[in-house]
Amino acid sequence: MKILYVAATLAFWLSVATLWIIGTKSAPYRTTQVLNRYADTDVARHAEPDDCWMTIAGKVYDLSGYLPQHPTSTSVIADWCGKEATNAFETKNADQPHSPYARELLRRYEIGVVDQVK
Amino acid sequence: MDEHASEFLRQTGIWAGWLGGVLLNASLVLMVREPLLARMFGGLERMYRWHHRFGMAAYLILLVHPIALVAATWPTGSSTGWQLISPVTAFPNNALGWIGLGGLMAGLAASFIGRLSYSSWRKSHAVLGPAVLLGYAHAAAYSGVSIGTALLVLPALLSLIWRNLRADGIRAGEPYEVASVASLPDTMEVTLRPLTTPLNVVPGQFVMAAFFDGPDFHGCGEFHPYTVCGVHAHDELVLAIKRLGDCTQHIQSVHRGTAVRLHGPFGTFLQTRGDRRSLWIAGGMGIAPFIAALRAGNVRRQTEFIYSYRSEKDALYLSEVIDQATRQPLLRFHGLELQEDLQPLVSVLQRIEDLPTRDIHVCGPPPMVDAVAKELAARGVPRSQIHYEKLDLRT
Repeated sequence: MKILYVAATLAFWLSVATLWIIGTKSAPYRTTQVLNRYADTDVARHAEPDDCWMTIAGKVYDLSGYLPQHPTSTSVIADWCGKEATNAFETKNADQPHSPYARELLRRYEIGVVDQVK
Repeated sequence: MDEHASEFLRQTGIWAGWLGGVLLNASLVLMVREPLLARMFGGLERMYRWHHRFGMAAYLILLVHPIALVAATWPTGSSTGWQLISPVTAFPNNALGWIGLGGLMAGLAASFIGRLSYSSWRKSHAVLGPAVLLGYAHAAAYSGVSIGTALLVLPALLSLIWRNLRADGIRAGEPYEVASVASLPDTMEVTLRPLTTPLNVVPGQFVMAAFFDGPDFHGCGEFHPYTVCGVHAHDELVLAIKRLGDCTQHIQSVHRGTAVRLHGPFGTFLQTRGDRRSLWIAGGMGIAPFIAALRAGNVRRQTEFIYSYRSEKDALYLSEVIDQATRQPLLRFHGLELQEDLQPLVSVLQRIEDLPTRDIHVCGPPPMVDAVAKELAARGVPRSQIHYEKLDLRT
């Protein structure tokens, strides 16, 4: 067991050191796609679990493909389909913010920004 | 990497965290030193082996937890991965996890250092308890207070509290007092009188004993295992304590009236059913359970008794054993001077023709027990007929 412990611990710290070096030297993830502009009425037309758009902090997200993967029950998040959901995302309605990983994951579903004029 | 692979790695990371937590729970329950629990698991030694295995398995799986979560983020870029697990991200959530994992790492590292004194080993091992609780705090910080986290935290907390109150603290165990002492070669024989509820001990069992304060004596207050050498009238117990480490060295100067606390009894070493003939093999201090059996009453089965020691003049209870052997018609005794080479003991075993038909009880230092176990296996003795106590129980 001693050899297993030493080998596993060394492998772990090598992995962490590698991640730290790469992570602190790399540029953060940036989306390069052109973002469309959507009005609130556009977002409201996608209000079903299998066709789910949301507005969070001025950006529009298509979460249709993500809903089945969400850790909690789908109905928790489906209530916000087609709506402005900034407060719900920031607090989970229980003063508990989403994790940094969740925020990074959200960016993958970004499709546009809210057009205040449209 | 496609979305499916990424999601698979993310789920692996999450499940590794939860599974590691469950295995840590199992490990903690298995360190609760209670006689009933030890009996359910086939003895304290076996219970502790599983405690180590579960602890080690939990540690290995928990190492996968952060690495798998990071690997799942690779499609979004390498900097995301480090941000996910960095100790400063979402402070104090990740920091709790890192400190907990670091505590596990340090506690396990110390447990592998063989030359550590018992006292140092216990202190370093005690780090593991808080480390586990910090890990659970990390889980609760991310998943919130729920039935899942409660089911994870409560058994661990209860195990730690139970162990500290019932088995380790100054109020653990039952109160006894040193009634008399007798100095033997390199050993102190101590007779203990119960002050309240006496332990119900049968020959072959051991107790965990901690010596505290008495007239001109300050004990180390650490619980160590000692085999009971005898049970006198009024439930007085006799322990033979050899000079082995700092605490037992100090006990050589214990006085009458010293406060002691006993926890147990543990073990079923000599409790075999049936009427098979027996073979007893004792090495050095391993004589203790057998002398308890001889003092308790007549030997009821035909028994070969091999007692090995470094020299006759230092052999504990040798004259008493020889005297018992002359008075017990079913007992045949073989005394054997033995140094590092265990071959003479193996040669004696080879001369016993009906070995596979006997119940065999072995008690002594680990190298002796291992050498005997190897010879018995080679002779085809079924494992169910071999009962042993190794004199090396870190608790």
